[in-house]
Amino acid sequence: MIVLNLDVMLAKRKMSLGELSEKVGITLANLSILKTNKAKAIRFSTLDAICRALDCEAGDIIEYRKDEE
Amino acid sequence: MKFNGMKRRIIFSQILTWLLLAGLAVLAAALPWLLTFYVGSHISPDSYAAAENFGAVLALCYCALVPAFAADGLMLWLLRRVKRGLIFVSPSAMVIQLIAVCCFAECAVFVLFSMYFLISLGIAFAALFLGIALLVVSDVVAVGAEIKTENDYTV
Repeated sequence: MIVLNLDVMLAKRKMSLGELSEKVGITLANLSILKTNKAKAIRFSTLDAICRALDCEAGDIIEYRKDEE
Repeated sequence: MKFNGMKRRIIFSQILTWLLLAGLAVLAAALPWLLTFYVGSHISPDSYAAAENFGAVLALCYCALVPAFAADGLMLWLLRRVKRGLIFVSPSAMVIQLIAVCCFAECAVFVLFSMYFLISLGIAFAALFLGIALLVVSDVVAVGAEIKTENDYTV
């Protein structure tokens, strides 16, 4: 399964979700959906804006973990 | 609701559904007298069979009213949710399935009615057709609900 490590990157950059919301222009509600791994899909434009704001790679945000059987 | 043009149509549908409910209530109250009049007037050959089995026919009539009342109540519930913009959600698909089940129940009752009134087979077929059509509509709404959830959770 795909896991988003947004909270990890926010902690590394010492940024709050609200600050990220203002920088990327995405609502706090939608960012919360990302942070809590409830998102079904993410647009490239959104990923681009988040990576730009957090100064990181896409792979730092998105991680693949094998499903435990 | 975003689309105000649709609001008038929904209100019109709600009025019709409430009128149907009122009509069903009046029918339920007046059924014994209506059936007595029909049986006594000998309008058709079927009325003789109905006269001989008055109790059974009256019971079947009330059995036919139960799914009708249930379906009407479900339609009112559905219209209230549609008015609030809750259209493509799982509960709406389930409610449409339940209305389809009510149609199948009506079909079964009218098949039993055909023992006394042969024309009931036509009504049974119409109820079966409507039930199947509503099952297809509920599938469409269920898939729409899935697509909407996917879109809602696309950031």
